[in-house]
Amino acid sequence: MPLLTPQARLIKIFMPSWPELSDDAYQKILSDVAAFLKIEFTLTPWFIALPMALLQILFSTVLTLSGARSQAEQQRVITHWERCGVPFQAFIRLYRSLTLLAYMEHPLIREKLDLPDYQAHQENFRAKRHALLNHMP
Amino acid sequence: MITSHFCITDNTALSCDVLVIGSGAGGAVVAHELACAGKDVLLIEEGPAIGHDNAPLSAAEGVARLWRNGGMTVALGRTPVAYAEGRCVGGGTEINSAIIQRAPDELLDRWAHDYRIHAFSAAALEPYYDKVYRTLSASMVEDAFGPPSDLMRKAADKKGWRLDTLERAHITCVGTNMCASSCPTGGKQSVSQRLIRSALAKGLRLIAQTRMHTLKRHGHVIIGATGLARDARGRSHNINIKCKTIFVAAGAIHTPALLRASGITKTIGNSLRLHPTMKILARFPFDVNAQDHRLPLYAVTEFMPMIRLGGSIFTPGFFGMALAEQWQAREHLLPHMRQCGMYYAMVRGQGLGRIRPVLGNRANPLVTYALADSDKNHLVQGLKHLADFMFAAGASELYPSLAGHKGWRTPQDVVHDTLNITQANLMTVHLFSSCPMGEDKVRCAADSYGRVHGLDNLYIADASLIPEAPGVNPQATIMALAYRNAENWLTQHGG
Repeated sequence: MPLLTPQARLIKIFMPSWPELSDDAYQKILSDVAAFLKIEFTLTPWFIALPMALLQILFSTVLTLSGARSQAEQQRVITHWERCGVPFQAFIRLYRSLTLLAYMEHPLIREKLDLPDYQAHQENFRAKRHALLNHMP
Repeated sequence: MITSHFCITDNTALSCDVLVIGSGAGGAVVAHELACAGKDVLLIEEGPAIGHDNAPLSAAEGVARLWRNGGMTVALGRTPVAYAEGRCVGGGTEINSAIIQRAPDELLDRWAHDYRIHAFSAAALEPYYDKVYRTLSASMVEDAFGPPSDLMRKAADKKGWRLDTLERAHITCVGTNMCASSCPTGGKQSVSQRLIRSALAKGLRLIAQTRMHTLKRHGHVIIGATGLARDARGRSHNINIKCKTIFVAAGAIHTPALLRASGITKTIGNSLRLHPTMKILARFPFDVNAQDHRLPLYAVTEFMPMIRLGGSIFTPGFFGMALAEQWQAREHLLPHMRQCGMYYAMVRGQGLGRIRPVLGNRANPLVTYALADSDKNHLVQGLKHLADFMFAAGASELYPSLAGHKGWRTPQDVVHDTLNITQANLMTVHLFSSCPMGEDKVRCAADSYGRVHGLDNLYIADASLIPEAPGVNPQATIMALAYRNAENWLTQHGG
């Protein structure tokens, strides 16, 4: 099993277990979500990015020291810390928010949700509008 | 379909008659009006130029590409307020829902009196609002609004509450539900679509990916501006621009930040106002499929002018973000996305905020905001009205954006709930009033036509000028003021 970065470790905890995914799909989504978060953190103002970076290290250390190995155990540790004050709560909410934004918008999840492929979706709507415009007086 | 903009690839010095900084609702109007009058206009935009033919594919991509700081912007305070701003050619008009509304007449008339704004009243602004509506083809959507709207209609009928249909800037909107990430079909009529394109044809020069960080001043005159441009590889280049007149239209946060960073501080950035907003994630015992439809095209105006209820854009990603607000209580909704919708209660904020540039980090000013007590009361009332409304629409579970809240299952749960607004996850997409206009120099940063007090050739042309929160979407008001102020400038400068 590859060694996870602190960021990937947290993303794994925040990624939902629904819908069911193949190992390949899971790894692909994990890697794309991590790439999205990396971009987001480069765009983040310093007064959010700095505490986020510190808390990321803190949570990674806490998870290591807690000895929690399984996903469920690690989630319990995070849930416990979520109740320990506003900064932790805000950090976890923000991290989970970004993770879920990227996760739910991922093409592989979209497929699982029976939603049309992005390109096809846009092309269909462009064609629909084009047809409407052609019929306008 | 923006064309003819250019990016800087080396250290550059330019000159122009009129420099406009910021290409959103205000800056685009000024640039268009002046370019069409034959003036030599240079329009600078910090973000990229994105046409509908290369619009982001997903909401996540849209947030990263078009929203300032990837959407990670917040006004700090006891109850922080997350806010969203566009950072691309077209500014906020590229990421908003294109809802076009006039500010209430009584408010416009009161501002004229309270802030001593010359030749300003609801009647005086009427022709400019008309021009905005014509320019953007503002009209009702003609085909079916979809279930998220229908549910609001049903609840309003049941409650007997006043419900307004919202007019939008569009030509044959086909309902992609991608408004927050630009419009992939070109149906939404943003200012890049309607004004910047035609101004380019009239000789406007547009430079994207360039941030101006300082205005150069000589006595009572601004002689130019300096900034940093980014090329396609992300490398930075210095840019110096000489100009005779300058319009700053960088929005309610970055206009005061730029002015203050340039040593222009009197009554600048001390009176930021906004519309504090709380959302409710609603689950229905049937499929709504909000992700496949337009955002709700109604607003409950029963509690106006202080409280307005409406519906939000709903994509799988935004649904995920709503679940993250209180994961333990909402996780079970994940497989039921199709049964969910997102609605909001928006308050005409009375609180005040401040904007201060940060030394060494000019791109990210510090923004603070303090809710007024009346805002807290209105938010509680608004949230309870919204919950009542959504239960009337048939919702079976409601989850308000309050930290630690377990949700409501019945209308009685709402009645008995003592809401703690300091726990609210507040957000807003409407920011204004940080440099209000008027002749009252104690309160106002700019005169009745947007010229900064004490300076001969520096003008403001964005939401900063709006004296107070209008209680409705501000785009039409920003544009109407920009049309009025551009016309006045042209009258004075031989347009």
